[in-house]
Amino acid sequence: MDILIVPLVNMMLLLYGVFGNSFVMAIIIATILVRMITLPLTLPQQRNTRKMAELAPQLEELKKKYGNDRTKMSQAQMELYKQNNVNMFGGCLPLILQLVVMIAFYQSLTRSLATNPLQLLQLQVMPALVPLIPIKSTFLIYDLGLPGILPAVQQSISPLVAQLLVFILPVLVVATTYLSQKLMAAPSADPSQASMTKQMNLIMPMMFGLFALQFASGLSIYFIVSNLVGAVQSYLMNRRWKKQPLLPAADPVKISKGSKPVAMLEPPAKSKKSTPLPKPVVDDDDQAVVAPVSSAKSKKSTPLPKSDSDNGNKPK
Amino acid sequence: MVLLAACSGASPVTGWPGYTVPGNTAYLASADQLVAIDVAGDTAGAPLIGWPQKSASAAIGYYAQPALSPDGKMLYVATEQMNSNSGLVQAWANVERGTQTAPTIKWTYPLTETDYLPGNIYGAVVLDNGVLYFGDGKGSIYALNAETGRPKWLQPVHTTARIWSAVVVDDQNVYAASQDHCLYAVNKVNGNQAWKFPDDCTTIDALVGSPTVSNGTIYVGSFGSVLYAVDAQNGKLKWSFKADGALWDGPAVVDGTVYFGDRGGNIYALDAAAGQNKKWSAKVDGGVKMTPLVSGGIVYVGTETNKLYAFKADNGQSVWPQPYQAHDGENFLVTPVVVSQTLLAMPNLAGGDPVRLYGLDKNTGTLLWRYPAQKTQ
Repeated sequence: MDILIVPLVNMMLLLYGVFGNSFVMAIIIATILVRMITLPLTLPQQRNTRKMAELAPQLEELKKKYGNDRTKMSQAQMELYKQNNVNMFGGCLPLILQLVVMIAFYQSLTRSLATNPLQLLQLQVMPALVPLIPIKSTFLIYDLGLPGILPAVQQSISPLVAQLLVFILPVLVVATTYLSQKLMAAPSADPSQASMTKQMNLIMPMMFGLFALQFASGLSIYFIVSNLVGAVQSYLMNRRWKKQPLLPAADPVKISKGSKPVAMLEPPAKSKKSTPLPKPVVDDDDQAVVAPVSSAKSKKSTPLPKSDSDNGNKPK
Repeated sequence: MVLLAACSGASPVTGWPGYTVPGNTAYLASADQLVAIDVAGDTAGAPLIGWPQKSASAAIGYYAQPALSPDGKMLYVATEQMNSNSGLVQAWANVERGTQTAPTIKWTYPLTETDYLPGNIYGAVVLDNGVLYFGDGKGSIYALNAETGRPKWLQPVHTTARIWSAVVVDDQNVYAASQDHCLYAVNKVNGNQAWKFPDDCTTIDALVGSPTVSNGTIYVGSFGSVLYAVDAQNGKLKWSFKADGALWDGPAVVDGTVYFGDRGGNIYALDAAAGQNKKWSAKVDGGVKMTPLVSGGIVYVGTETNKLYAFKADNGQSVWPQPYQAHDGENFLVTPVVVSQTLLAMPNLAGGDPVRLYGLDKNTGTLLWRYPAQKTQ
């Protein structure tokens, strides 16, 4: 792992020197750079997740169709994914690579901070950057290498105020983690999955808030910046995919007559706004042909897109 | 993100050991143990009865040179508490040779809720006329009554960055090198700052290692590879010398000559008065972090690549046929000590035993004994 970490440490120190010996600026710039570099790894995985969510209504229909026949259900699911270029395991390798890069970056942050003498001694730094270390670790009321606030600040104010100041970074970690997760999570038509996602969106930020009380302040700042960058990325991607769904709108899925319309990707009943859907098409057999983006929970029957053929188009 | 948090890669070892050697006994502080070892005679290398003493908690580490009282009965040691970023100072009683009572802790600082909580303490605790002085990882300088463990000053002296090294004292002041790029002089009696060098703490690079005080001059090296000689009275710069590598601990000053090494693997001998006159220099394998030892006309210095060297103090010629080489991963980071004809060297932790001490023939560099004795590699 040193093969990744050592160059990242040197990059952090270089940025530290370039930005006027500000390690906070180095963290911000480096986080943005690393996020951008790993975008080719994260984007396919997010696209995959989005596609799977867009296909959720069709999966629901398959479940109804095949009931407890797991073999047929599994085959149909695979076929559906194949036809829509969804690779269930396609997100694994990019995710692993992304994790490797992020772990290396995280380690480079902790090493750069050199919170004890042995870490400082073992820091592998280019000769030209040695005069920059150890980094100036104070930032506002914080020592970036330690949790809490500076002792000089702590001893000059009341204990209550000191305690409140200690919570600033952890609260920001909680808030930004929540925001990032909220924007990153693809909407799910499955109520149980949606419930689980909601719980995770509450538990994980709280957990990280607790971690942040123990972390060095510099690492809390890294998490805040990383969460904000991730949130912006997710927001932009979600907005784009909302306008242009990943799966073609003209890919209908046949459902049996009399079944209820399948779930929409857009938030169902609770949503105040709903995106108008294309008009429905009824084929010769009087079977309603439903596009992948129709909603099961919508109280109104929604118009469906016209199909190119009236012979029961198969989903692509 | 959970994986990131879990994969912090934090090492349980965060510093390096320290030892003090009064007479024929070496008191070592390393990891979670305090050990007293016989260093002379037929029992050289054997621990004294009742030792080692382990800390009460695995989270407490000893990573600095302890101080021994003049009567040899009290041992003062600083600690690092790895889970809380704070340190303690412990005073151990009944530590002298031949005592029939096991060593015990007499007092611990901090004691009360109103005591300032030190950060991790990596530098030596220095005992001077019944007062203990030390710096901590929060950048504060403390003075404690050695008998009671109570603060001598109204409050610690605060600098604006970490102090990871030992302080030094002379008749008037205690001197501390802070990573805020300043050398501080603090009055020993009242804790008032006497001066700091430089005035604005921006014109030199970080000071990480211990300073050296000799004949009214404070010597301190920076990570920017510069050795500074500062007037102890007023904090004015006397001279500076640019080395080839970053400097950690201060030099040894003996007979008007300044001896020190840099992390680029260079050893220097300079004129202490002028600084620019380089008497000699030598190249070693590995960076030098420690203050060299000058004893009997020989300069002993260890490196970060497990080697010990001996040079003639007057001309820099090698004394030993070849440097002593310890095991892989054993770095020599603390100054060796000479006891009679034996050179004592304590490598930092290299896995396995938490404490090691080597006894070498000071004239040949041959290994005579080691502690623990059962390890043969």
